[in-house]
Amino acid sequence: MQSLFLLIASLFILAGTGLSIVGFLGLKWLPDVYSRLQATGKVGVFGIILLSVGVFTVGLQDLNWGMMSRAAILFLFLLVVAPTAAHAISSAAYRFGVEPELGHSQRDDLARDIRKATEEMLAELDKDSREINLDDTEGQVEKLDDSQGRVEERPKTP
Amino acid sequence: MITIFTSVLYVALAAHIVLIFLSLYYFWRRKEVFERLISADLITNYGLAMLVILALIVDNTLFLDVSLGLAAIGFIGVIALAKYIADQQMF
Repeated sequence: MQSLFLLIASLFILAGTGLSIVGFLGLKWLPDVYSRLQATGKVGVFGIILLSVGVFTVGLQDLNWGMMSRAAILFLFLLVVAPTAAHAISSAAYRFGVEPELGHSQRDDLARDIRKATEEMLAELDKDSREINLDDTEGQVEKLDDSQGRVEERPKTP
Repeated sequence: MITIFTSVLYVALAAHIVLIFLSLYYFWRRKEVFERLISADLITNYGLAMLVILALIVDNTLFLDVSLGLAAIGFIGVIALAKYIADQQMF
């Protein structure tokens, strides 16, 4: 029975070591900051997570509650913390201006979303300023008919 | 069975030590700041794994406490460095 627990633990430890090696290979071979982050922030971290599962199994062998609880806390903590750190690095890299190597995928969804949010914010500001001094801008606003039936108001260009 | 288990532990420890030095090479080699940050994060994770394996080899749960502290410090350090590099300010 004890040897069964040790066998399961050694299988978990070997799998964790394999995932660590795969994470390093991802750091070595992938072409881009974001895709390297994909390798190190998920695969490389799951190496330690499987190792802590192995430690939990070793503690389960002779009911070592200290080892089991510490392994469980480490497991849960890494499961919460590792994707957060990866997300922080990738969002900081995007704000820093690191270009993704697009390759065959020719779209950048985050840039589109940022542009749309900026346009909505500017339209809101525009509407507010028009409501404040309505008398001044009377007659300078022309109505543009959108193709989807929406009527959009824009200030007339001189 | 115990001999197989200890040999597996020593193999995993040796693999993680080698991986630390290999990722240290890429930390030195690549010049962009975020690639270095990624390599530093990976080195922290490998040190954590080394501590977890050492806790099994020495059969001492103190190493697990140390690895919890190292995980917390590494997480806070990575987030603070990323925010500092991107925004040029800490808070």
